Amino acid sequence: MWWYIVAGLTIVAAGAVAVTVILVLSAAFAALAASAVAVFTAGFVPVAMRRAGAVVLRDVDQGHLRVAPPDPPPPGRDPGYLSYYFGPAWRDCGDMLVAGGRAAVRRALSLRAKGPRSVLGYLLDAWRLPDELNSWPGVVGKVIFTGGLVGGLVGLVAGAAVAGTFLLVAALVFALLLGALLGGTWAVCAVLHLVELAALRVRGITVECPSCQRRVGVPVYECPQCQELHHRLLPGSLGVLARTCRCRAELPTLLLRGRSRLRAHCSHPDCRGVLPIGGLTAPTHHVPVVAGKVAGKTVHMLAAIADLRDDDGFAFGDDHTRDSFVNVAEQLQDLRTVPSTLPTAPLRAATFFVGVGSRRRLVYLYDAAGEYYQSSDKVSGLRFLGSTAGMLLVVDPFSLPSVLSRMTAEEIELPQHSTSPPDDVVSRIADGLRERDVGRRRDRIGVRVAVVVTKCDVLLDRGPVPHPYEVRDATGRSERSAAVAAWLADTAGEGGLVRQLANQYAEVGYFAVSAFDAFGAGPRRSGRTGRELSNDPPSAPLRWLLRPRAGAL
Amino acid sequence: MTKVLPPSVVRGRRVVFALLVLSALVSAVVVAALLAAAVVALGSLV
Ligand SMILES: Nc1nc2c(ncn2[C@@H]2O[C@H](COP(=O)(O)OP(=O)(O)OP(=O)(O)O)[C@@H](O)[C@H]2O)c(=O)[nH]1
Ligand SMILES: [Mg+2]
Ligand SMILES: [Zn+2]
Ligand SMILES: [Zn+2]
Repeated sequence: MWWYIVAGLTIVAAGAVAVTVILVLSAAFAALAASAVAVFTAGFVPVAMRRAGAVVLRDVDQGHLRVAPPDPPPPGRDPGYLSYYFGPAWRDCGDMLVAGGRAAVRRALSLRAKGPRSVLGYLLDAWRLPDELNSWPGVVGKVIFTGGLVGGLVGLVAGAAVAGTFLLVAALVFALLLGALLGGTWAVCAVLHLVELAALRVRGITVECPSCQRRVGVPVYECPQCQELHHRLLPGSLGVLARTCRCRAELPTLLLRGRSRLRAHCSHPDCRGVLPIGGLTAPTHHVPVVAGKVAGKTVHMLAAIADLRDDDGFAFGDDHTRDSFVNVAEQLQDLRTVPSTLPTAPLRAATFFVGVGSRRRLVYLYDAAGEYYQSSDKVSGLRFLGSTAGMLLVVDPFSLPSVLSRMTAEEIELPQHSTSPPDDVVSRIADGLRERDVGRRRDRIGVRVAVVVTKCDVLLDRGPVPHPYEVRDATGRSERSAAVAAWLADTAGEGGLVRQLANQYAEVGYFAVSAFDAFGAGPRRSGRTGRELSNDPPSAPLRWLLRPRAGAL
Repeated sequence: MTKVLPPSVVRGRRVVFALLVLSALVSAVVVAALLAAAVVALGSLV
C-alpha cells in the first residue's frame, strides 16, 4: 500500500520539478526575448530615421519642397526660389518624421507576407516552431515558446515606449531649434530691411523715375541673366542676403551687397521706366533747365555735361543718357545743328552722378521743350517741379527787347534766338512750384535759381552791347553774380526780372556763359575793347546749384 | 521631373539637418537618463 503512495508522490514531485523547470526555462526565454526585442525595436528608430533622411534630403528637387517659383508666378510672388527656411524646412522635417516613423512601425509590427519580416513576425514564427513536433515535446516546447512570445511582446512594448520617447523628445527639441532658427531669420530680415531704410532716410536718399518723375519706393529690379522682374528684392522669404532667380542667377537683396548695380525700373505699373543704375546710393538732385523756345537750353545742357565729364566721380546714370551724351563733342561742333527739342517727345530726365564720397549726387536734368513753359496749363503738368531743388534759368540775351533792338539797329549778325522774354516764363514757373508745394525758406520758394545768360560769346565778340564782365570787373563768385545781375538790370533793361527773382526765391546766382567754352574756358579777347576776360565755365551754374547748403551765403 | 536644387536651398538643408542630428543627440541623452533613472528605481524596489 505505502509504495503506491511513494510512487504517487515521486511522480507528483517529478512532475512539479519538470513543470518548474519548463516554467523557469520559459521565463528565462521570455526575459531574453524581451530585452533582445526591446533593444532591437528601440534601436531601429534612429536607423529608420537616418534612412528616411537619406531619401528625403537628397540634393534634388523632389517636388515636395515646392521651392521653385511657379510659372507664371501668382500676383505678389517674385520669380525666385523660396528660401529653405521659409516653409520647405518644415515640409522636409515633416516628411522625414512621417517616413521614418512609418518605416519603424512597419519593421516592428507589420504582418504582411510581402517585404522584409517585422519583429512581431519573427516572434510569431518562433512561437509556431514547436508545432512541427508532436506529442509531449511539442507541448513542452509550446509552453516554453509561449513564454518567449509573451516576453517578446513585453519587450516590443518596452522598446516602442523607449523609441517613442526618443522620437517625441527629438521632435520637441528639433521644433524648438528650427523655430528659433526661423524666428531668427525672420528677425534678421526685418532688421536688415529697417536698417537699410533708416540709412537711406538719414542720408536723405530717394530715387525718382526719370520718365514719370514720381518717387519710387522699392524699385523693380531686373535679373541680369533672364530679365525677369523682381518687384520686392528685399530680405525676406525668398532669401535673406541673396535670392535665387528662376534662372538660378543670385541676386543681392541689399544695396550694400550690390543690389543698386542691377538694372531697375519704375515701380508704377503704368510707367516701368528705367531708373538710373546706382540709384539709392546717393541723394538725388532734380534740376529743370527752364526757358522759352530757342533760348539755348539744350545747348547749355550739352555744354555743361561736356564740361563736367572729366570730373572725378562723373558717371552717366543710365544708358539713355549715355547714348544721348557720349558724343557731346560732335554735337557741339556746330551749334546750329543741335535739333530743337520736340514737345511731343517723351520728357525723360538726363541722369548722371557727380562728386565723390559724401558729396556724390545723382543729378536729374530736365530739358523740356520750350513749348512746355509757354502756358500755365503746361507748366502745371510738369511733375518734376515737385522735386525740384535747383533750377537753371536760361536767359537768351537776344530775347531781351533792349539788347535785341540795339543789336539789330547795327545789323549785327546774331545766332538763332528766342522770341519769348524770360519774365513770363519766370512767373509761370513760380506758380507751378507753389502749386507743387515745394519747400519754403524765409518766406521764399526754397529753390536755388541759377540765372544763366547764354550766348555771351556774341556779346564779347561784336555789337554795341557790352559783355557783363566788361561793364564791371569781377573775380569772385559773388562779385560775378552781382555783375551779371547789374548788367541785366542796367544794360539789358530787365531790372523787373532781377527784383522778381530776388523776391520769390531763397537764393539766386547769376552767370554769363557760352557754349563755346564747353571744352576749356580760357580768357577771350573782347572784339570791342580788346580786353581779355573769361565767361563762367558752362558747368559753373550747375555746380553752384549742387553746392551743399552749409556753404551757402 | 527632378531638377537640382539651388545651392542656397542645399545649404539651408545642411543647416537644418545639422539641427536634426543635434536634437537626436539631445534626445538620446535624455532617454538614456530616463532609462538609468528607471533602472535605479527598479533596483531600489527589489
Ligand atoms: N553763339 C551761340 N549760340 C548759341 C549758344 N547756345 C545756343 N545757341 C544757339 O541757339 C540755338 C537754340 O539752342 P537750343 O539749345 O536748341 O534751344 P532750346 O532752348 O533747347 O530750344 P527748344 O528745344 O526749341 O525749346 C542753337 O541752335 C544755337 O544756334 C551759345 O552759347 N552761343
Ligand atoms: Mg532744346
Ligand atoms: Zn515712372
Ligand atoms: Zn533670372
